[in-house]
Amino acid sequence: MRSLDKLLDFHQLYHPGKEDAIIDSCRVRLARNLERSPFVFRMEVAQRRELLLRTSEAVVAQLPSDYVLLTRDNTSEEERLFLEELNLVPEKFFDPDSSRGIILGNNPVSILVNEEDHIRIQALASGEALHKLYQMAYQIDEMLEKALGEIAYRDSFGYLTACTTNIGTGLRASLMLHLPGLSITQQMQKLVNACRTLGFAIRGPHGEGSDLSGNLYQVSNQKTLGLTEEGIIAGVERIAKKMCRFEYDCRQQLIASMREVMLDKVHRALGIIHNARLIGIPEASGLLSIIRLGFSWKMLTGKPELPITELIDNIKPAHLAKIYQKEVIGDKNEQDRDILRADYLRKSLSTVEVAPLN
Amino acid sequence: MPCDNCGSNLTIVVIEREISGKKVSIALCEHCLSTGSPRDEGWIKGIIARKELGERSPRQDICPQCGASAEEITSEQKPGCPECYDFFPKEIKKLVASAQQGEKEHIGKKPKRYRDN
Repeated sequence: MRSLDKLLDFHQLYHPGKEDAIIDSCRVRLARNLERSPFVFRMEVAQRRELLLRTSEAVVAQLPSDYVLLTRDNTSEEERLFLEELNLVPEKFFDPDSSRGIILGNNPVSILVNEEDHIRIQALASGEALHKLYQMAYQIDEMLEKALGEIAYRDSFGYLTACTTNIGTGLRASLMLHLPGLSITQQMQKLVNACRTLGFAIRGPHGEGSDLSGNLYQVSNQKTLGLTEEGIIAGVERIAKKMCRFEYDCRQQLIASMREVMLDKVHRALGIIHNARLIGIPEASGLLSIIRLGFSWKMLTGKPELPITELIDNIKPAHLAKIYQKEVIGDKNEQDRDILRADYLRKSLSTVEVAPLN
Repeated sequence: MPCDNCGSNLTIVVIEREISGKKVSIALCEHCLSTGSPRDEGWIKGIIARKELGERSPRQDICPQCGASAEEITSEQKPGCPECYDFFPKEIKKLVASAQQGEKEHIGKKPKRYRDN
């Protein structure tokens, strides 16, 4: 048991880009609102526009010069989609008349204005770095308070938010986990329920406990009140560590009891990637997840051009458009994207081969 | 601009009347416009007089900042603004209890202005 604990020590096994990594990325988010102003959903368009201008002027002035405000007005459709694909903004963020903006620089921390709350400070990184991200967000939070005046807060309720699910610390900390073993053995639903009982949410990229995209699941805290910020982060880390252990055990078990079946899965996945001429995102994500498993089981040799976690982003529509310098976003261009995606994956995994079987 | 009658900030219209040869104007929210007597000189004079004395007849049932009612908060499961948290303690207590699984007290970070005291 003790040697296993050592093996699963966070900061050693789970580096960004390692194909057998289970923790792919991390995120913190702080929700803040201003006193004496309705919450966003009760604001008129003109009020929201005014808040966006006032906030961005005050905030951008305090930040390094590479920070800019991005809104619907100063971005192209492709750029907006690109931001969405990077998980910097949620879907529909830049809808017309929403008067929303993101203040963004060459830095893990960005600021959303007029989303569900007046201000949302968010920080994203690959690997596991929740404490570091929180420290960075904390600094921005302090600066924001100075720049904007009174942030809504009460002694008992803590920071006030539009949704009572966010009051208190206003902190949502999350980790993105790659759980192909648990998915294949269909244990996710039972784990989702167990986590919920303990106060944690697990979501696939497309909703509660579901997985449509490459066996990736996001684990986050449900409560934001009655805990310290450090306590919340420690809790998320603890539950993620448990999930890692389960996933690790699961992978060991699969290879011990179903080796030929897994070998077949991995070989087929590589075969498709090497030979397909058209490939959609759901299929591609699933295959890339199997490829990562293949590496973790040492069934593959060679190396992808980029870590697979990056490939997962690069096969998305606006990313492909950027890489190939072609206008391929939009419903009409799905087949063009499928062609480029297949081409991109073939090239990115061209040096990956099946390991010799003795 | 707050309603001259109740202080609500919600949907204000400005009424202009000529009373005793003078042009006067008052701001009214939708509720006070529809339940009051904007055609009644006496009613308008009363509002202006109270305004000059710094008095208002705030409605007891809506948030003075944003105009949200207890029913709205309960049905939408969302307060309308930070002041709603003060104005509707009963409704907020219920929302918080279910949203935060029984937690009641904030023990985390405070804004700087609260830390300096």
